[in-house]
Amino acid sequence: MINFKSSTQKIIRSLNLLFFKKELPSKISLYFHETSQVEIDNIENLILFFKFNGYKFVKISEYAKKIYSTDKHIALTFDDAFESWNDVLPLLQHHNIKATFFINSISLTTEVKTNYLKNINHTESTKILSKKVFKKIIKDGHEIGGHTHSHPKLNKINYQEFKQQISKNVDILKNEGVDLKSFAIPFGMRRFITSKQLEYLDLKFESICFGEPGLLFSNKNSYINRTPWVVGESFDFNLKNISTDTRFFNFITRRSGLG
Amino acid sequence: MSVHNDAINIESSVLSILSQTYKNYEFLILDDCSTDGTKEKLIQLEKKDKRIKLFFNSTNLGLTKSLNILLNHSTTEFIARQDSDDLSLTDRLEKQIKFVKKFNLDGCSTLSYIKNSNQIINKKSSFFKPEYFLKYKNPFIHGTYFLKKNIYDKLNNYDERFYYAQDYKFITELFKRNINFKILKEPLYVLNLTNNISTKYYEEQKQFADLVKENFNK
Repeated sequence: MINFKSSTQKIIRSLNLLFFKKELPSKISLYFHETSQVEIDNIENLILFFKFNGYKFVKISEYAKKIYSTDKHIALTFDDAFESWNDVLPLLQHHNIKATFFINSISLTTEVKTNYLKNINHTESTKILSKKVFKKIIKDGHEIGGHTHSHPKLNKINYQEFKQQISKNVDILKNEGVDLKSFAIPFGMRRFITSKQLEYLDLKFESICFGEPGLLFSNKNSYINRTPWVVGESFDFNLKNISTDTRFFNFITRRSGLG
Repeated sequence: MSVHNDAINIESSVLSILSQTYKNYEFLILDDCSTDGTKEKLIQLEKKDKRIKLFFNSTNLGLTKSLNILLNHSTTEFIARQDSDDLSLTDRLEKQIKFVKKFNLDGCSTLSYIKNSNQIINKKSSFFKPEYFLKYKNPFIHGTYFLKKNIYDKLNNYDERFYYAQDYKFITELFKRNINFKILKEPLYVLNLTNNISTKYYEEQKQFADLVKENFNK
């Protein structure tokens, strides 16, 4: 199944490169997970590169509001809950950039995190976001989004559990003084969430983020298709990835920046 | 780097050098008698970073002479170029130094993105021998030149008779003397193709470039 998906994506990418103009799309959203030094270097390159090309770095809620405009917007987003984000914050502050963090609220509780780390495919030694760094994110003026309580595969749990995952996420962050306006689906793909669950989220949040490069066939205004930053690949590889995926998605959904 | 009236781009260009992962350098900038606030911006930037060393021309001398002034002021083993309307990616210097040392070269240039696109410039020509292309055009991007200081001394810096196309002249001289210069086949630079010298003064530059070609093909 995975092979089929990645090969389909490869075909789409190469067709894209062949037939579309090679301009950068006007709307770009990216997502990162854990940030090692390599990612941090890449983020700095990315900031310089897109600023130089006239892009404005925006939070995801602003990005969603202006999704049909032709302004050049780019949204940086970070998923799950990692302590290593602490090293990204000075960089974002230095360049005066506001990003969005989709946080699993389990990181802010005292619950046992073994299952959570299993859910996100990380080893036990991974450092989970601390309260201190969380407070710093808020203080720096970044946006916080929802990402469920403990990152389960939503299509594998029942509707009651699903609602609990969402309400816990909302309530715990509300206690910290954060109002969630946007939400990112765990694992990013449409197939990991049922239609009924998606309808519930539609009512609850202003915008919903997927992370399914080029394969989301819906043009609902509030749906945002994010491109993953591929860890271990070069800046150039990722740049190509961004333009082909975004352009293909915009073509399917007839959004701006068809390019 | 030499700059004349480029207040819009100067800051991003300078910051891209200051954000380099390779930190041990001095950054010589010459303001070629700007009148649009570039000079003031440079003075502000100089206060932020000790590695910046500013120089000023009292009259506008053009790029060739300005670059020679800077070359005379430089003392380091390697010299990298940067244009005031372009951008270097943060790992540019680090990768160029590693490349030159690894293959024991006298210098190298890199590939480049074109501003506002994800297209890479000079990618096709980098697969062929540069000598072939030098007969028709300069296959290297001036802003990405990275050379040993002693090469500039050997060639007596840029040829001041060439107000434009000084980079083309320089590189042809270099290849006549069999100096080891290669392209690092990675895009580490972003080139601004709108409103730069090559598009604004296309005719004038072409005349100078034709001169170089004649000279080289002899």
